Amino acid sequence: MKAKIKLILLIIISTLTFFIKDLVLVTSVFLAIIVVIFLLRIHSKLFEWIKPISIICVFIVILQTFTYPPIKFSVEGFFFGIIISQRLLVLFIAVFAFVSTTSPKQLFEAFDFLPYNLALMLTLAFRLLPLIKNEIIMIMNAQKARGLNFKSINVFKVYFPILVPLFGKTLEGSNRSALAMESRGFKGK
Amino acid sequence: MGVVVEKLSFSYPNKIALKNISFNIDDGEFLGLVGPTGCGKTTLALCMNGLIPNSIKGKFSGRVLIDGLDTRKHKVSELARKVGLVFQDPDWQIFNLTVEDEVVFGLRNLSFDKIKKRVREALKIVGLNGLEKEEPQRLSQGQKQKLCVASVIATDPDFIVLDEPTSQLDYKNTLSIHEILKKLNKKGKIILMIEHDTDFLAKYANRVLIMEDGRIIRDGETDEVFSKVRFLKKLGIKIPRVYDESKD
Ligand SMILES: Nc1ncnc2c1ncn2[C@@H]1O[C@H](COP(=O)(O)OP(=O)(O)O)[C@@H](O)[C@H]1O
Ligand SMILES: [Mg+2]
Repeated sequence: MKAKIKLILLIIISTLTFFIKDLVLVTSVFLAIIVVIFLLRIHSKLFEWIKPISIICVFIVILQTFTYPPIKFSVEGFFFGIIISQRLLVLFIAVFAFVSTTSPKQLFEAFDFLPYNLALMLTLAFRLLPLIKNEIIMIMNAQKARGLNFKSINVFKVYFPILVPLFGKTLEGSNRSALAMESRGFKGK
Repeated sequence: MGVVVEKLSFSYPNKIALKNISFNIDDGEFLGLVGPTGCGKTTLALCMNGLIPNSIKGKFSGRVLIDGLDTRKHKVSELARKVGLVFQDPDWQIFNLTVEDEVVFGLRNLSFDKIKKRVREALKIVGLNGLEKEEPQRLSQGQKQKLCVASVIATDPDFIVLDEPTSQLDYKNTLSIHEILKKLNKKGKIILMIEHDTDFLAKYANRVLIMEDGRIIRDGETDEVFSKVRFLKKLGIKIPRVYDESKD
């Protein structure tokens, strides 16, 4: 499939998910996109990526179940949490499907209607994803080696030690990228 | 071509990084720069092509002249024609989608034929010819770093600065990067290489600078600097194997 068609599909899907508020509809879209993932044979790759997001979703569901006004357990809250989580997942999976079936080169071509600098920046941003994933894995391993238990229930306890160094590293990395570009005579203004 | 560093001091907002550094580099030199982590090596490298003080702000005093050009008065993009800078981590310095495009990236104002020729030569020097259409992300770490070197030499600078380019590479790739640099040096390029593996410097560099805490504390011919074994030990710098047995 042409990268640009995929890009348009991605934009449509993400826009639609913003407007769907119905449980049945959201669940059907969610299931549909899962089927697509299996058809594209990228499911095993997806499972690698989806763990942190799923934990955030579980967290959202629990939060909604108990805080949907009034603040006590409610079935409405639970379903509301499910809807939000599924929307988040659909969005995430759609972006994932796009990125993992599009080579950086195709990606750049898909952005060819944009000015060169902007297209370059967007491609760079997408290209960072695998780098960021590697950083996450490396940080997680380093933290595990120091005895952090990722199976623990406490989301904050588990994710802060990853997010803090990840943020630092990504910022530092993009800063270095900018310096490297400038060193090679790129003005970008 | 020549490089002059005069009474150079630089402070980041909360850290004095370089303290009154002076040295000259002459044509044809292959300089090694060593020193403990945090002593200011990277900061010094960033001063060589004007990123400091033009893009990275801080308190700057003294001056750096590259082929007579004062780095304070010229843009980084101008200085880039004279100085090439290779950083430590290739993953963050490759932006293009094919090997070829990556090398072309810094080339401007050249005719199409000239660009083609430059790219072909640069890739040949680092041994990546034949991989022009490959996606850089598919290359091995060693090949990626060679691509960074090729991208810099394509712009034909007289002065090439490398900030620990081999720190993530295995022995074989480190060796081949050094061989490439030696070849460039023989062709007349000035090389300034930050490298913690003193064994390689002992073999390839003709002069070594040692930094500690923002200062240059030794500057001399490789043999002379590396034969001070006790002094190196005190600084925690690895003693090159050839000097290990010799006396201080
Ligand atoms: N962008 C920055 N902002 C503030 N301090 C910095 C920055 N970069 C480096 N430093 C500090 O300046 C000192 C010298 O750093 P650096 O030149 O990177 O040393 P080296 O490359 O020898 O390890 C270190 O103490 C470091 O923490
Ligand atoms: Mg450094």
